[in-house]
Amino acid sequence: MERAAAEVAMMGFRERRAWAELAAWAVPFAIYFALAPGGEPTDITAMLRRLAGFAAATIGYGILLGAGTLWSMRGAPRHERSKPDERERAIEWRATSYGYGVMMAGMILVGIVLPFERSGWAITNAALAAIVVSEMVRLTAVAVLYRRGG
Amino acid sequence: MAGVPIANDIRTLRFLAGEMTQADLGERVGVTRQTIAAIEQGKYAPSLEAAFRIARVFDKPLEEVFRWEGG
Repeated sequence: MERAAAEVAMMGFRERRAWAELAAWAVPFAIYFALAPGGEPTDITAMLRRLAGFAAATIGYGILLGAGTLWSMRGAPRHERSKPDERERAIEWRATSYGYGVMMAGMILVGIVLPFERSGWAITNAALAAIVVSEMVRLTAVAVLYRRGG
Repeated sequence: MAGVPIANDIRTLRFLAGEMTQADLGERVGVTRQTIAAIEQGKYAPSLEAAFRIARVFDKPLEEVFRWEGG
C-alpha cells in the first residue's frame, strides 16, 4: 500500500490525469451499460428514462473528470501542467493511434454490420460503447507507456 | 521505447553539478522530471534538440553526455 502511494506520488501530472480520466470513463459508463434495458422504449416516459440514464452517466463522467483533474494538479509544478514535452507528445500520439484503431473497428461494426440485424437504441448504445472502449484503450495505453518510460 | 541503444552520464553529471535535481534539470531543458528520469534510466531516447539542451546545461559536448551502445 505504501509502495503504491509512493508510485502515485512519483507520477507526473499527465500520467495521473490519464488514470483519473480512465476512471471517469469506466465507472459511470460501466454502471450505465449494466443497467441499460434491452429492447425499444414503448412510450415517451420510457424514452425519457433512457435519456436520463445517459445524462446521469455523462454528468458522472464530468464530475469524476473534474475531481480527477484537481487530484492530478496537486503538487504538480506549473511548467508540467502548461505544455506537454516531447516524450508526453510521443506517448499521446502512440496511444491515440491505438484508440483510433478501436474506434474505427467500432464504427464499422455500428455503421455497417449492426444495421442489418438491429435498430434504434441497440445501435445507439453500441456506438456509445465504441466511443467509451476506444477512449479506455487510449487512456490505458497512455498509462502503460508512462510506466514503461516512453 | 524500452532499452534504447543510447547510454548517458546524466546521473554523474548531475552529481558533479552540485547534486542538481532531475526537476531542476528538467525545468532548464524544458521537459518534465519524469522525462529526465526516463532518459537517465535508458527508457527513452531524447530528441536531438533535447540532447543538445541537456549537454548545454552541463557545458559539455554532446558526446560526453550521450554515447551510442547499439550494434
